[in-house]
Amino acid sequence: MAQEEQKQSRRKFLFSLGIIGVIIIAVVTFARDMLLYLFPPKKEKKFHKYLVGKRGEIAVGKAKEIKIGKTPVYVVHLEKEYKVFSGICTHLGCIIRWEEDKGRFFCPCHKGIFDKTGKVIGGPPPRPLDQFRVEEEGDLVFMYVKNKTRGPWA
Amino acid sequence: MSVKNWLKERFPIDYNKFIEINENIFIKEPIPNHMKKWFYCTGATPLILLSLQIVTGILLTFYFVPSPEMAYESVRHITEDVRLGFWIRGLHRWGSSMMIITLLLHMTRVFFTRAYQKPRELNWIIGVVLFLLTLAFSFTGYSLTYNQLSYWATTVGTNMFKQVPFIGHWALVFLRGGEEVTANTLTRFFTIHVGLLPPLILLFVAVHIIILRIHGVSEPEGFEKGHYAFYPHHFYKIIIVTLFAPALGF
Repeated sequence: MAQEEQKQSRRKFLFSLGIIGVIIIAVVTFARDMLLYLFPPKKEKKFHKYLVGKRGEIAVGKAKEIKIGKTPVYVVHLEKEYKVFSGICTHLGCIIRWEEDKGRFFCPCHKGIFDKTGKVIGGPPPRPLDQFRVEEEGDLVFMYVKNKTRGPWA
Repeated sequence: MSVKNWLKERFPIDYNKFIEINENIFIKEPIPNHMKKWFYCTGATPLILLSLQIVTGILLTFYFVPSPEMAYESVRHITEDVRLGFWIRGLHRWGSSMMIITLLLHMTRVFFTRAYQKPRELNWIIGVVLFLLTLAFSFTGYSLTYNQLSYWATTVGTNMFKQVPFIGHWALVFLRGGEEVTANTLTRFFTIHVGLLPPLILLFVAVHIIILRIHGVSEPEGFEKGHYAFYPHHFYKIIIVTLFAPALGF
């Protein structure tokens, strides 16, 4: 008799342990999923990689124009490195052009002048030309453009 | 001083009695023997699905934006970008369908076992109101995604109100917030869906359950007389029935 009672209580114990265990697992999993849902993950900024030139293609001190969409960027070969500048004037957003003979960038709107390292050397622009990240891999030169996402959720 | 004593002094009620009352309500409630058949347990299913709808619905409002430009885009964002958003939205979406199906099952059971007869007519009427409220939930919720399908469903659905004699046009203008389906309609439907209907349905559910408990469930003929306690048998039964319904749907 006593044994039977013991048996039953063990079965009951295991049963309720199983039930409570499953309920706890379910509740914890659900809570975890809700938290995951509510807290957006940290997003790494993604870059788009463009091939902009080959080593030796551009002579030292010269620039090459490349169109990305409608706006141009300029790949400049400086003595030690390559740089890529945005073709948009930092003054009021006009498109600048490269003056080969003078080795400088010129903005026709308000006569802003930048040298081949992007610094302002004349006119109204308030800051140097915007630069893109550049990396050289072997013989090739690449630039990186930040991926823009659709919608207000960046 | 322990937390329990602190609480007891500031909220002085007889806790033993409180626990006893709750035990009688939630655990020891006598359930007639025929309720062991699953077909008689379909009433709790929509209730549990309703609580699931409330939880997932609150979660969805964290990301949903009720404006014509953003409604569809935010739903896309929830389903495609947000972590587990597809899951939360899927639960809410399919849960609504399952709620209608289980309500129909419940109503079918009540109808064919003549459980609506005196003195339970009022509860049947309240049940029908609950069903209509659920349909209103579905209709307003469907409109919120604001894609072509739901836009025209809203147009057609609100057009039907126009056919009601005397107040038809007024009802149409009230629902649409103007003569046409616009941003006004979307915000109205959002307010109705998340602000107006939930308290209403909770109120009616409460009355529905109170009346049920006062009269007890109806006992059809042909079953052995007798009762058993709500917990654990009936408790697990309704959980199994509830899980079975979404398992079919999901």
